[in-house]
Amino acid sequence: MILAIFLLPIAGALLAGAAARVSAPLSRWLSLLVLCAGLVLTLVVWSGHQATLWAPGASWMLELDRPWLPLLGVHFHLAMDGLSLLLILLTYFLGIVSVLISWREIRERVGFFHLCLLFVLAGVVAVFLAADLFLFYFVWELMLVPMYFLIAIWGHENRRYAAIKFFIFTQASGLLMLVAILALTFLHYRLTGVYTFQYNELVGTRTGSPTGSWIMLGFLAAFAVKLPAVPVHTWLPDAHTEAPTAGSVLLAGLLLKTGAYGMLRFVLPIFPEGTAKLATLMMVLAVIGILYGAFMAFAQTDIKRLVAYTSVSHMGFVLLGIFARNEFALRGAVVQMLAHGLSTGALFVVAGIVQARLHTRELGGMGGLWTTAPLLGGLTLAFVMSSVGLPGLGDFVGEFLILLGAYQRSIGFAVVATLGMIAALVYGLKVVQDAFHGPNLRRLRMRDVLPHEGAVLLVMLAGLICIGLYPRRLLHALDPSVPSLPPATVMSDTGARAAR
Amino acid sequence: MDGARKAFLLTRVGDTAMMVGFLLLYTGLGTLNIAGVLARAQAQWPVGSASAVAASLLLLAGAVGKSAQLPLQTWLPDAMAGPTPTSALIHAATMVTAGVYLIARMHTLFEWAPAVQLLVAIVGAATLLLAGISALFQSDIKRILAYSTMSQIGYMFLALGVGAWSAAIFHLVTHAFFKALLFLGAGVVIEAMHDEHDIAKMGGLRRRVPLAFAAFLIGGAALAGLPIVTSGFYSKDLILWQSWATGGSPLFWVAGMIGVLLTSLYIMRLIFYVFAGPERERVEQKVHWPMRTAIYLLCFFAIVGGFINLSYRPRQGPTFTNFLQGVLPAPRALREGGLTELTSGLVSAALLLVGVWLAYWAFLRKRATVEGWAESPPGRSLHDFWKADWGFDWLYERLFVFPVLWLARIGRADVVDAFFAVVAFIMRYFCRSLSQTQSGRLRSYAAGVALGAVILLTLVLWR
Repeated sequence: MILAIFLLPIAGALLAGAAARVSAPLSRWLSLLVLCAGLVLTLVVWSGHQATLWAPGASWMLELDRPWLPLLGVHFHLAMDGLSLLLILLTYFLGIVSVLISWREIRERVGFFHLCLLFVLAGVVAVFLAADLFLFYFVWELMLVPMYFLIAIWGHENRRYAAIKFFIFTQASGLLMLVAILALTFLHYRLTGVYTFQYNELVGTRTGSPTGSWIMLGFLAAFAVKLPAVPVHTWLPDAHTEAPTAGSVLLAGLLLKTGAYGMLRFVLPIFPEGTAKLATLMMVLAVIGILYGAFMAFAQTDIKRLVAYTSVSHMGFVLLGIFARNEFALRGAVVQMLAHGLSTGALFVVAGIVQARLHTRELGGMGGLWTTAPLLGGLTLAFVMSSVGLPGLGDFVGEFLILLGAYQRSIGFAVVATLGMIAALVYGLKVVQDAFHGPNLRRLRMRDVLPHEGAVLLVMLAGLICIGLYPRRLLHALDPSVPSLPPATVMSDTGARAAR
Repeated sequence: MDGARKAFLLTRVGDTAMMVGFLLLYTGLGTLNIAGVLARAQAQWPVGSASAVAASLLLLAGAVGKSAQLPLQTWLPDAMAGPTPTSALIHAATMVTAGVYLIARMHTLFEWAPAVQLLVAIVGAATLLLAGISALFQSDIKRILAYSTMSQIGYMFLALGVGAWSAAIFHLVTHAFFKALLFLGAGVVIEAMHDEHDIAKMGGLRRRVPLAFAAFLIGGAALAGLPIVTSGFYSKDLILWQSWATGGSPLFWVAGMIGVLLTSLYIMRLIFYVFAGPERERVEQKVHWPMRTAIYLLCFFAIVGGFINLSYRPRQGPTFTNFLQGVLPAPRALREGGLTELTSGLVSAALLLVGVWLAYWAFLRKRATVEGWAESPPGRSLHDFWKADWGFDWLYERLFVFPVLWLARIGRADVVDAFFAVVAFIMRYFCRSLSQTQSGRLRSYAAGVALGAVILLTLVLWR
């Protein structure tokens, strides 16, 4: 089962790549089919585990462990818990979204496009499944190359610059992580005499020493660039803006999440002492990210660039939640990751639609689009409202839990971070009002959403409403994975109820 | 459009503060269940403790934003002047009063922070005066009503601040009736005038649109608090009396009384401008039956709505106040001596009549003279200052809007990226310099090799 979830996108990538020799639509349909199969499979796993909720202590829902390079202690070890499960669901879902919205946008090299797209997805799924650090590094790098091609081949005007910048930032920080992984293995060897890359065994390593702190910084470098945290965020606006719509959706919806996932999965459990020491600094960076991202978003005139900077702001909330390190904040961070994947992904879809119709991304060249595309306007308004944290929609739940957790850790950070919610409103209203409201001075006419675009956006909106109104399911799925992240504060019974 | 943006933003500012308040409550008391919060706050926090003060202050910020009180009040006139009268009436009659409800609901928390409760009263008194004066200088019929709404909510805040909880809710109810009536009347007028909002361009409408005239007469009388026969009288006089009787500063009572004078001035100014005097242009207005029905109903309630607080059985006391007794406690110990309820009522009635007479004198008989004052240079600037609501918009634009826009303009390119650009530039520079050495000229290669050999040898031999 877990192998199928892991292999499906890879197989799909090869199939879709080959099928394009026969016909382009076949390639699209095959990709769609494979991704739907993956989504269904993951849902089956979830529903199967609904009933038998794990006793605390049982770590994984699904596991597959085979020796790979026995000499080095490298295993092919896949494992899934609630956190992985939710993120894989998001991955498959956004994969489907990406294929659908590329249906008309991508017309050249269709086969290679889908090959790259599915390989990115394969990398992301594998990142969420890998329970062996060697394997983790392998698939971490696997995400990178096809993404580079997606930007460099099908991107917009300035695509080469953006693609290279993206590549250098991620590659350089990834290498630091490789060094850190090796160092961690050696550290473990020195302490126990066993070479291993296994997550389960490395978690117990004593990393309180200064060496341990340096190793942690190596991991953090890679994850902070991916997240992205200020000040290493500057690859993001370029890459998001220049990528084709599907690429932006994948970047914002998934690749950023791998950074947060890495922090949750590796940094917090392996380096409890180190993270405790570094928590204040990281929370400062997070709060700066929230405000700086929101401000930069407001300053932009390019709609995709604007949305890109909102990601910096939202992921600042996630970072804040991760380093507040209590149960509310950690749960909130995960909910925020999912909600951000949907809301920002949807906003990129909207930006892509607008750009395809009007051939511009400049807000100055829009205005009054509501009159000509009312459905798109309404949907955009809904996604923007979710993005700025309107209660009842997904992002609010995440942000509220994060702020609640952060408040318990440090009142100052939480209060400054809430200013981000005001700032968010400023940029959110800018999108809606500059593009969709006001007089239609240029007499712009554009087609409203097509059925497949509308369907995609509506499903995403439904997802956000579900998270917003009934986050209990999600939080439930996280129960066994998140509390295992030390050090957790004890949550009272009423607290747990309120949190859901 | 800007009105919508402003409304959203300013209420968001209040909401955000309120959310921090929720975080505080949850962290301190472990629940967000309202009854639980109130019970635990009473049990766990001493009166006047820092937590209670902070929490109630943050909730107050939310209420102030939602109910358009100082200093977050500037969004309301824009938000109400724009949309249709129907949405404005819903807005004025119900939505903006949510802040009053919030404070009344959380009243225990405010009682536990007396300083904040005093602040509620100050905010209310200040808003009712400022907005009352602003209303007097507006020319847009709906803006007058919007400022009037702010001013009336100021009365409710004043009541909350002095602990007259049920009086605040009572005024909330009666205000909903007569303000809704006034907005509907304004709608009829505007429609009759073909979308004209400026009251200076209206006149003599009492014959052409008698229904609107009746609506304004009844609504205006209730708003000003015409004794005995209108609903507004009962609720407002209760607030005025209790603001004296609960033993706070007598200034609150004085502020409320000045408010009465202002209220009757601005509403009579509106009525004289719109309905009295010569007809400016012939208008025909047919009002459809649903609108008629709504206006009749609201007229009825604007008159009798106040009777719910009369005492119908001997020694039973006021009905509405008793009804709320289980939730909202009675006002604190009453002040002895000084005024009685009857004197307070008489003073307010007298001020009301003075207001009507002043308005009659200034806006009907000597309208030209008064407008002449407003045209003179000092009058002009004062008039503009008050018409622009004491320059709050002007101040906020300079304090917040312009700096942010300016920063956004200069900060569009990411500053942080400059650092990486410099790194990239240095790399490229070295790359170019090094690639220049690969010139293909054998002589320079040979020289390089020789030089390197010499340096290496020197290094080896030196040691």
